Amino acid sequence: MAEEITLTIDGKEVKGERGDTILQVCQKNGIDVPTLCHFEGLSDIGSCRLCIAEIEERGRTRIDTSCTTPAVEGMVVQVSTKQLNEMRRAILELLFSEGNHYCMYCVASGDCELQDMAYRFGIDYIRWPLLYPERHIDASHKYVVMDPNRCILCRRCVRACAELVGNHTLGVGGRDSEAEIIADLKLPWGESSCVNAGACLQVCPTGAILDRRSAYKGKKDQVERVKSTCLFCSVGCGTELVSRDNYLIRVEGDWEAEPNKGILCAAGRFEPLYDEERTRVLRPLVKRDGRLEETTWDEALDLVAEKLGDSDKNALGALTSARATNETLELFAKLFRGIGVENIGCLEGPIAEPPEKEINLAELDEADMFIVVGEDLAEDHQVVGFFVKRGVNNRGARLVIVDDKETGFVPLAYRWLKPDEVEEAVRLCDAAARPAVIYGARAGEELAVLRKELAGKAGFFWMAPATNSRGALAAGLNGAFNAEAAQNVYVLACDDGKVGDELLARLKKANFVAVQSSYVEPWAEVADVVLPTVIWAEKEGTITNLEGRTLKVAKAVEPPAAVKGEAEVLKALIGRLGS
Amino acid sequence: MPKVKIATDWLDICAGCHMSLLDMDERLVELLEKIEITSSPITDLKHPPEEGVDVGILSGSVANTHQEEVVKEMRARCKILVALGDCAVFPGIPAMRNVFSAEEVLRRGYVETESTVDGKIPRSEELAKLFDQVKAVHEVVKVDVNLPGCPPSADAIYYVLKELLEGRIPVLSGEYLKYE
Repeated sequence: MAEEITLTIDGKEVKGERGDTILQVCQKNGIDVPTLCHFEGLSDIGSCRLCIAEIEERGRTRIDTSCTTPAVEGMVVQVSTKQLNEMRRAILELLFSEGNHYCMYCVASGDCELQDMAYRFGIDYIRWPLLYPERHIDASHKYVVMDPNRCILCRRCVRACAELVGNHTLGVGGRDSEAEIIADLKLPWGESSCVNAGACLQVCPTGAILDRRSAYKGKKDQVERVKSTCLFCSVGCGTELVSRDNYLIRVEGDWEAEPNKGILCAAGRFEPLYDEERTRVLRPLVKRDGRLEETTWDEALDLVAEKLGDSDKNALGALTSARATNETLELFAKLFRGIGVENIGCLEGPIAEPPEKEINLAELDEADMFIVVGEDLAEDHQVVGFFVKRGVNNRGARLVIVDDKETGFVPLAYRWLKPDEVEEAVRLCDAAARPAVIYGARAGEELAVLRKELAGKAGFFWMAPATNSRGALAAGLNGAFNAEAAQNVYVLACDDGKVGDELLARLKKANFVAVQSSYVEPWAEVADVVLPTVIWAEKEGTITNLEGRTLKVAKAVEPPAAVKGEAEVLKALIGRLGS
Repeated sequence: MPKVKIATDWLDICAGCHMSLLDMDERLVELLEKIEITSSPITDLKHPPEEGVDVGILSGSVANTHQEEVVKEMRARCKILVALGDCAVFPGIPAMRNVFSAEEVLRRGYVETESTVDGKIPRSEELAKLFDQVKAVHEVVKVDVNLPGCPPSADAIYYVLKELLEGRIPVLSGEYLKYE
């Protein structure tokens, strides 16, 4: 138990814990202190000076920032005197005079913490001459634009990049009024070591860092926010889907979500909105004379039921994406087990069942050594990669990579070992108190060696290959699919586009292929029927992430009129096939 | 009771603030029972009366020698000076050119513009001289009331005038204090 301390703030006796800052004590006791550079989850550095407090300690009075001053037993603190508020107003006016702040056309107006503060302190003009510094916009990045004219150097972005993503791309260059946020050693952002996590974007209090796609598409009081789960890998990061008039404008990280605590990677935050180039299926399609043509739901479902119902049981096959929700996977299993199909599998291939007890994501923050086996954290499960980067760059943890492939994390590693050198990784573990082994789909015999040698010492962490691999395992859908035997096949593809060429080539030879898919690609040549269903932002249900956590997927936008939910389609087929 | 006299003019600005003033709609009729508008961009009188007015209202920033004269004349002839809108207060969009010199701005406008052929910067003595730096009204003369906004809402303008009519210097907050 932390030691309780008592201090006086604004004449009121309040309690805090030893180790709290004055700001933390204020927040625990509902005392409002204006802040700009403070951000929950980032370290405090006292750069904006708005949280200043008058502190009386051992008979002396001084003014200091409450976010960086430890609260001490018996302290007498004032946070809202007339003098402090006058100083705060002056500080805000200095911030305005130092930059080029044009609220009238700024993307952040209405959503801007600087503007909110200026309103709060009743700033109706700036007493000092404005400096009009010449600052250049950096629009070299694919997803964000940096406009230093609006920057107040609060360094939230610098801290988010370093402390949350572990990437240390952003920093501060120059001195005094020349100081600016820079990427690496002042490279254009688009050419820097940025990994597109977008944490900087989400913490920026002004319009200095803006999202290209959602800029000017809706302010906070015009948009709707829905908490959901990212469906683009098995980490299952908590997201907030931001939409306006049924149009999804942006994905943000949910600061309260357990696996990721707000951080996302490009695959979850940007790519689905910026880089999706496939053609959406808007109505059911059937193949006539080699071409997919639009048809009605009844006709399409009847045709699928007829082809599957008439087929010899041994010639039937069913494939699902392991990105589907638990509820969809259960219905899928019910449908095809019900009609006696045994040839069932996942698009991603058979999934090897991991042992019951493994560590969870939060425990990675305590590991002092990482052994990454058969997994490129720069490509897949990137948020797990951020945990590793945090450990290596911020806490001095050691990274050892055991892989044939030169992964994106090799430059960060203490050692890169080939799988047959795995004994060396075991030896390096001698120096570690809490090693963590992170292993992916490519891990082979070397993993067995690590499991044996490091049993009881290291925590193991499975990078489940597909978003809901654990859900697919639970539904018993982890078997090997025999593409040779399957002549009449049903594929539940969801919005998944990652399908092996070999499998596609096999399916092309099949007699009949029905695909439940949100997109035409890559099914155009393979499918005889396409049943259009929802994409990630339109579906509801749960998934089970790589830790085994059940996470809620919520609908942010309604699907196009003739597109159906996954369960609705499967239930319609169950009805027709009597399974 | 004699009516309160008001004079108003615009400087470097898009005229949106005066549009917002007209947006007071029927409240203008109510106000006109108590106020008299003398010089303004929408009346024929172009200078505030020499005998002076109670309230002077200026929108726009001060960008050239002519506008500076207008500001000084208004200040000399009014008791209470109101700076209306972001350009008059901060000094708004016109100040975006402050990272360049007046000469660069003129060259860009009259010579280098893509659609201009054989352009020439007008240098007549008759014309006002452009300042290097666009200024807010309070940087030129003393201002009694700053009402920011781009434009300030009709409600905010109405509030300010009502407060002045009641003999109070308005204090802006909430819906009346906006920079957009």
